[in-house]
Amino acid sequence: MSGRRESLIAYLLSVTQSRRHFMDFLFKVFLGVIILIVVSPFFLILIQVASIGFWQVFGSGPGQGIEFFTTFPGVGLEGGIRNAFVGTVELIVLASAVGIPLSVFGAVYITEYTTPGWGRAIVEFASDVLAGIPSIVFGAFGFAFLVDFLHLGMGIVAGSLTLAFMMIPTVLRTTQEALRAVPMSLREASLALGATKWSTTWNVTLRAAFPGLITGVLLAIGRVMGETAPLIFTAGNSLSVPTELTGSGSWVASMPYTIWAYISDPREYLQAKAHGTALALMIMVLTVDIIANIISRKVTRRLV
Amino acid sequence: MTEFKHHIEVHNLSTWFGKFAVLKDISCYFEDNTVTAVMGPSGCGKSTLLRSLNRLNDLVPTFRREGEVRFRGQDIYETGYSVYDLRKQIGMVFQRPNPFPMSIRDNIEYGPRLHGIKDDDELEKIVETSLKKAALWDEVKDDLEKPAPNLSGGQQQRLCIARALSVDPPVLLADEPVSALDPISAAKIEELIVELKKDYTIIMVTHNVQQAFRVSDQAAFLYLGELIEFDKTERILEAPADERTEAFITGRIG
Repeated sequence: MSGRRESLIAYLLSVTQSRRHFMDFLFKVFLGVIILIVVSPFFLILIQVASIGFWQVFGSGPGQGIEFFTTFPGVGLEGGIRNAFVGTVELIVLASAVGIPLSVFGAVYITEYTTPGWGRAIVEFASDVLAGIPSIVFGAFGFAFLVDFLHLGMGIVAGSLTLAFMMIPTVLRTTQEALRAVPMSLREASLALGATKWSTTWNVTLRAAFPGLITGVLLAIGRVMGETAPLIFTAGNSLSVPTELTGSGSWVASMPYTIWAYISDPREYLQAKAHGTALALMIMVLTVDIIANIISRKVTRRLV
Repeated sequence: MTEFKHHIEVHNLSTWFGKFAVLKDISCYFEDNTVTAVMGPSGCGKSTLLRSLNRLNDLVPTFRREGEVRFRGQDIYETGYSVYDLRKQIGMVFQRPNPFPMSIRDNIEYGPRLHGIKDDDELEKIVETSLKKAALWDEVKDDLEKPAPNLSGGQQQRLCIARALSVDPPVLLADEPVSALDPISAAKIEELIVELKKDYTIIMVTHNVQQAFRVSDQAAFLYLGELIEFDKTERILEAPADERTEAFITGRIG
């Protein structure tokens, strides 16, 4: 203990020795403060959300814990959030089923089957711009194009397609990066064995790019999981789970939408439910991100 | 069946990448069951010549060629010639080991599977014979399910040789196959190449004169895209006919 104290004193003495030492020390402190400010929002949000919603998700009383996810809201919204939980899962599954193949095969075509030039530049530019478009604009587009123009109406189909549009730029670009990172010589080795281009792409290139590809997919899923704006005009809302693909039976609730609806509701007991939902959603997104992280770390080990 | 003297013959081959002429009017043939070394300083077109033989240059959009490459008497650049069948007949080993990110077994089975072999026993036999030919069997026979990229560099390169042999090609191309390896692994692979020439026609690019001397029977010396000399390796190395060859052998250019 005294050793540490002595070295601290020695350090402080050296700091005050000269102007240059002091400035060096000051800059260190400055950077430390900056990093505290940078990371504090995450912890503040977590604390705020958990302080109100923690027992909704982890408690064991009536309507808490697992019951929170397995009961419908019911009369006066006094029950759980099964409608929103199931709705979000269904929306994500459908959005992924449409968005992931489209973006992966699009990236394969652009990266493996075209040469650099105008076509490729346009696709890359378009998807970069698409990635920067605010989500509310996707919502408005989903409403105007899918709900209105294509007469899909609000519901699970229009909602998940809007989310799929949002996933495309992220997945397309990360897949492209993953494909580019595959050494050319792997493709050549396959072709030199008499493989066709498609066989090479499917069995070798995509396989080698898989860890990078799955990382992009999971990040995109994590991102759209928490989106409210695209769903406001497209998915409708429901106190139950969708039973049909079109019409009012297809309206679907989602966790972000439910958070927004409950928080803006004057009934006091909905605050805890809103924060519980928010905590659950954060945990879901975090889990997806952690999985993406673990896989992306394996990339370097698997490639040559 | 077309008459032919050698598996691979090159007739007046010139190639360009864009406007840049890489090979200039090259004619040579590769004697069966021998090792031919293609020598020359960096950038002389050695690799381009090698890659013209299995049409791997076709991957480069700006690639253009004139002249013929005949495999078993047939021009491989002829319209309608199947490049996939050609590449099944001409195996290739690359400068850097490039195993697929799969298990050792899957690496070997990849080629045969492509060409329609599905029978497990047959595949099993191919894995064993290919690895034995590449002198790798004893080291990996208990680890066939392990990922190939975990092997050492030298082992990876022998795996790549085994992979190339898995579809039983009569001709094997090797593009500086040992230049990325440590001396001990390199020596092993050189020995292996000498061993393999009993059954295969081997064409090996190298910029290492000693290696060409140790391994090859005939040699081609390329300089700035031209074929300067083409003869028995011993003859070229002991009594170079051209001063550029001599300069390369003695290390003045390279």
